[in-house]
Amino acid sequence: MTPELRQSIAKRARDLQTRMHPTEVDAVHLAEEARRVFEDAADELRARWITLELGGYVGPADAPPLSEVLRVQPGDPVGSRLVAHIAAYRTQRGRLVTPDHPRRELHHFFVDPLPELAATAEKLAKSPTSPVVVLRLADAQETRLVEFGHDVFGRILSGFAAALHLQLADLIK
Amino acid sequence: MIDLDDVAGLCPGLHAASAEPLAFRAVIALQRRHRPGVTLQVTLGGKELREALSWSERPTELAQMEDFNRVTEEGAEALALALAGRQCGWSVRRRLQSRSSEGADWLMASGTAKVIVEVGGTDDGDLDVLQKRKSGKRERRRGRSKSSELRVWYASSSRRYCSGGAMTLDELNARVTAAILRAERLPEGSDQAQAAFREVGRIEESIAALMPADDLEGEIARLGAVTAALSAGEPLRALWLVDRYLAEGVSPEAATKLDALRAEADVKLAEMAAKVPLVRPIKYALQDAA
Repeated sequence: MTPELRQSIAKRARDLQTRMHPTEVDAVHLAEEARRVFEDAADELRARWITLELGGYVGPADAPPLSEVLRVQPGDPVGSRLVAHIAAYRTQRGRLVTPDHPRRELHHFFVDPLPELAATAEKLAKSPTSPVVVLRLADAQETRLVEFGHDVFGRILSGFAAALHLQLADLIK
Repeated sequence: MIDLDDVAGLCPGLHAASAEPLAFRAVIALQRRHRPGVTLQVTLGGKELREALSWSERPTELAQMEDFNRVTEEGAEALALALAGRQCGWSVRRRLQSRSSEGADWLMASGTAKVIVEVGGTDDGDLDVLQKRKSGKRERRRGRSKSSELRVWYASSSRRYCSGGAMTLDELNARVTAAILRAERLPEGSDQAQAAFREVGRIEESIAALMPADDLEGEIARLGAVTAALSAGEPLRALWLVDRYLAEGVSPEAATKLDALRAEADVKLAEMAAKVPLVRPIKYALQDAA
């Protein structure tokens, strides 16, 4: 990478960071812009991350570890930090409320694409305020009803923005 | 006389929404051993003072619904604020979050100056033990980071838009006080507490956006926003805010505290990373009946 290109990427990353605000997050737009920055920086790992964010983490049915989905090599500190960031915002704590099943705490990793999460967040923001939202989580074996805080989708989106801010900072270090 | 039924008059600047539960807990704590009309003995600036305490008696069973230590602490806070208002002429600016307070519970105003007040409560009757415990805590914290016990700054007043409506700093201070008291009464780490701390964080961030980084209230709000994010189980947001606030040129003391909070957030993230779930291809659908 030429010094000019490095400088240009750093500037674009900083501009993007400056425009991000914790209370006003347009996650999809941020992701699209960030992908271009990561691609131009030839940062394959982070570009793959954003592709997964926009398209969803739905892949093979055998439930691989997140590090495998991202193709992070064991011992890679940059990759491990990214995995920790993604897990922190895409994993949300809920409560199993399936009828005739004991209520228990449950951690769910949301695999859904950012645009879908953003659309649901917007829909819920317009609906009457309720402290919780119940989601139907179905796979081939069973369907579970899980209760989350009403702002669960907003939390994922703002968590993504926070992770993006931190990853951009790491990129231009 | 301090009338604990007169919540509006408990302390200047303390809104009823916050004063009422504090006064209620003071009554519950006092009723363990006392009846209305008991005299409070105060040592203030080396002088001995006496204040009669009055209240309407409450059913004793109400005490069983409250956390014993919380009632003691908040009861002490109610009386301390009432005394600070009556005897020192101070008024409440805002409450600080316990986990970030570093020996400060309330920010009060004395004329144009600001005063940080620490309050301790004990039910065992030994004030010396409490004072030693509190000052020991302060010494240990000082070893980690430089923090001043009493700092005097000058008040400023400005407005910003928050949630679509213009809110003054005073209004935001009243809201953050009520939100902190509410959040800290909930079981630590519970869903309800995390949601309540998210609300605290939103208000702290609004105050931080309103007040400059080199103003005491701006500094408290910046530290409070990061602390609230941690209490809300959002270490990524805490790290993001630390980055933003360090870039704003906070004081060296605040920068040290922000660095300590960053380390705490990194530990939380590492804990989460150790429990990274498998990526199961399970998509969600909203349950209409919710």
